Amino acid sequence: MKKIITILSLITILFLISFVLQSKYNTAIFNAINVPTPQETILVKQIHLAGTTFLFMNLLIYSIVLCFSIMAVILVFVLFNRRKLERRQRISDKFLVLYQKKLIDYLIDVNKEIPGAREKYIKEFRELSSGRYHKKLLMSQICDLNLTLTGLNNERLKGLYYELGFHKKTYRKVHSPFWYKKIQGFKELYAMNMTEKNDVLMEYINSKNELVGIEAQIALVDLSKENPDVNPFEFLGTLKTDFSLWEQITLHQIMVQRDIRVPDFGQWLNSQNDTVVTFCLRMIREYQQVSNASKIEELLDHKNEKVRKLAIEVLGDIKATESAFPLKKKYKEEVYENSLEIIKSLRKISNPKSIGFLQKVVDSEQDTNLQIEAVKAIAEMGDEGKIYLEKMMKSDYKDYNIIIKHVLDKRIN
Amino acid sequence: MWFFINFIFIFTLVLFASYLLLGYFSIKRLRNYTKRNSYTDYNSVGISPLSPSVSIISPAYNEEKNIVNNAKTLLNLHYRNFEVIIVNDGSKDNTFNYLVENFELEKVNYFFEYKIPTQKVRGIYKSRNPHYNKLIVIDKVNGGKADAINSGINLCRNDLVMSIDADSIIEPDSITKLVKPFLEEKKKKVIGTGGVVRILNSCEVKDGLVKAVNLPQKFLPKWQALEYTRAFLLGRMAWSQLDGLMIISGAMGMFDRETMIKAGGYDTQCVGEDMEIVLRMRRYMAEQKKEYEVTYIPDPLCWTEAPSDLKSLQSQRTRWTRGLMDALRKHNIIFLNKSYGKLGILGYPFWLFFEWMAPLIAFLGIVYTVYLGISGSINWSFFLLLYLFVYSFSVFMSAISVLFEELTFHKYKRKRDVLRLLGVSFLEPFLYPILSFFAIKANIQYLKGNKGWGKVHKNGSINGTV
Repeated sequence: MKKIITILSLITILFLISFVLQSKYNTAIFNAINVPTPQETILVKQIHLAGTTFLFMNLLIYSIVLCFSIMAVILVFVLFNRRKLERRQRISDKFLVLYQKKLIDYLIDVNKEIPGAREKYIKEFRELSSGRYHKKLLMSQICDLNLTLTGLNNERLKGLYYELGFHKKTYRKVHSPFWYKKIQGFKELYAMNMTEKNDVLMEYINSKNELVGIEAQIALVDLSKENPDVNPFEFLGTLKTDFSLWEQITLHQIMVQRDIRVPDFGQWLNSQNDTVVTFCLRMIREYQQVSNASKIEELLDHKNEKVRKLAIEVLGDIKATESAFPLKKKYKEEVYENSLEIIKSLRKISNPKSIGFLQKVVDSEQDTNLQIEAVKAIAEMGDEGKIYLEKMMKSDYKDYNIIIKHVLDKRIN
Repeated sequence: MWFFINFIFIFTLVLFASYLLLGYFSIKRLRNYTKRNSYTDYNSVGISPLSPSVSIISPAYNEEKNIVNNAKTLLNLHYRNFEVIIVNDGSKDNTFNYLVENFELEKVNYFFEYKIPTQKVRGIYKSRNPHYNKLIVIDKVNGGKADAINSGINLCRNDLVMSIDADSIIEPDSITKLVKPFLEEKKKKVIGTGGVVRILNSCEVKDGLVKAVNLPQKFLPKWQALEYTRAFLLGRMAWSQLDGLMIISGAMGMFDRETMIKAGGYDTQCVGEDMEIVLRMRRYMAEQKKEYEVTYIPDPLCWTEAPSDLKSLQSQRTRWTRGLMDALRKHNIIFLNKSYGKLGILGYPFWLFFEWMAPLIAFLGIVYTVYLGISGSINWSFFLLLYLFVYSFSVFMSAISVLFEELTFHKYKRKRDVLRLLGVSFLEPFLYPILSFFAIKANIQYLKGNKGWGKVHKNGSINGTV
């Protein structure tokens, strides 16, 4: 933003200079070729240049001057920007290594309980981070390092962070009116295990800015590690905004990478927010929370067809044997995509009792996807399935050979 | 005649005003995108089991030079769930044999369904080597690029389809970046996403990856580097912001398979199939009264070799113009039709007037100026002033696009390359009469019914400097 404001300011200055010069030039030309009349200003006066006016000529000249001025500014900007980037890179390369080394030394010496070591390092870090850029660099280094450490080392780094007053900067960012600063603040909160702003984070769960919302969610999930009594996904109960698949993936990855406690996701399956329901269904599948099968079965009547589809998928993925019957019952009522998903789920559940139903699907359906999936499902039903397939291959009713060959070719599936 | 002169002048002013507006919307989009994505961790999404599966379709016709390395590059993309479908579109060289030999392919009993009608598929092949289990090769009778992609669409089972040119080089993280808009969808269904295509000439390539980005040495590719930067960073980003995007580059794009099939797949009779498919998918969604969007992301994700001689350039540009005319003609119902939203009110008219008609009007203007010059009825001072105005604006727009590049991705690491790129913008306006001539030629070819692709000479190199 600053860069754009600088460019615009320079352009405005150039434009004003050109305007003043152009006005003087107009008057000089006009005086030389004509005498002004009281009714006409200089700008609208016709001149002997293709019968046009001073105004038009001026507009053309201004535009040309403006375009070339901007070109010149861009050229200067590019040169300076490159220099600045190169300089930043050099400084960053040099100091990142220095800060990393110093932070490791600090942890080693403080852990060895060398007398006066802590004070000595704090003094050194204070001196090193006197400038704004260096402070920023050191803060990011402490945060990055803290994310990779555990236990006592976490405590030591957090202590250093507070001692250097960096926590105040984090608080300021959290309360900043600019969303990108706020996000930075949230990231620092969870990197440094700072739980004191959890109430603020809760306020931003339903933020209109989805990035602020997701970062608040990530921070809350991550900070739940600090308090074993807190449910890491408590916010799901109050989440009103849509929860995109991107956000769901991001949160799941945080759970995996940061070893977050896994709650029972069945508790939010009756949420009014459909995206919360889909997230919980995905998590139930990932963590194989099979005890939620009956709750998921209830979702087969959900008004949202996408929720129903995912519920069907998950019942198959958690191999909910008892759910085979309700799934078959829903087959005819469902939209095409969901019917297809039912067949796939029956394949995953692989209960030989479903063979008769699947045989009917193969015989009655015209859609080849449904037929292929049904044959695949029969093939998964052990010996009984194989016997059925052999019978089908010899069938006079329909020629199933192409489909069966496709299904039995292990290289394809 | 005064009407003609005034028309050209007003046309030019409206065109310039449109470019300025596009620049404004583009900067808005770019700023938003770069800020938002600075917090994105693409790696974790690429490896997540929750990420959707993607089918990459790469049509290949006489690509024996690069096909094996290109397939290897595709198989090594950084993403968890994907399959690579290479469609050998009846190549006359050793494309298919090289694939069979290098990937230990064997024919499988695939039940192939012609959901979208295509030329006959001779066989589906998979590798005996489990290392290549993500690879599927379709061998089919030649039917052109669109027909080959349609075969791939018929075969794939994943919800998202990524089509790429076999001679393009794509960045390892391109799937994750293209998938993101689909994953972020909330109210509106995302039906297509494109990424920025850059010029490969003079870049250093190793093992199918761009190792060092250099500005092309030769003038024509260098100019195209500037043109692509402007077209993608200024044009397509702005149209994406305005919801009027009409094209996703044929070199690389990701689409929703279901919408693609329901819209009827690629048009095999159109040489501008990349624009035609987007128009058709958009038409389908609008006619079904479904909320949707087509997005563009500014990340440079794909590298392609630009023609380096005038003959190849002419061949490429005439094909593009014919493709544009064909796509616009086939979907003329969209023109100023409110039911197609901003596409009908803004996008289509812009492409009709300023992409198709502008070079024709410019050509007429050049001819008329020459006539005035010969007949001695030109006011040279005024002419020079007007010319300088048009020239400075053209240079200005190019410089703005270089600035956008500098503020966002600065792929050209050397200062010298950026300065040379700026330098090209001063010479670019002198190329315009040649491009206008190509446009006239393309219009004549189209009226004569020419539907050929033409020949574009490419050096093609998967290793070394292109």
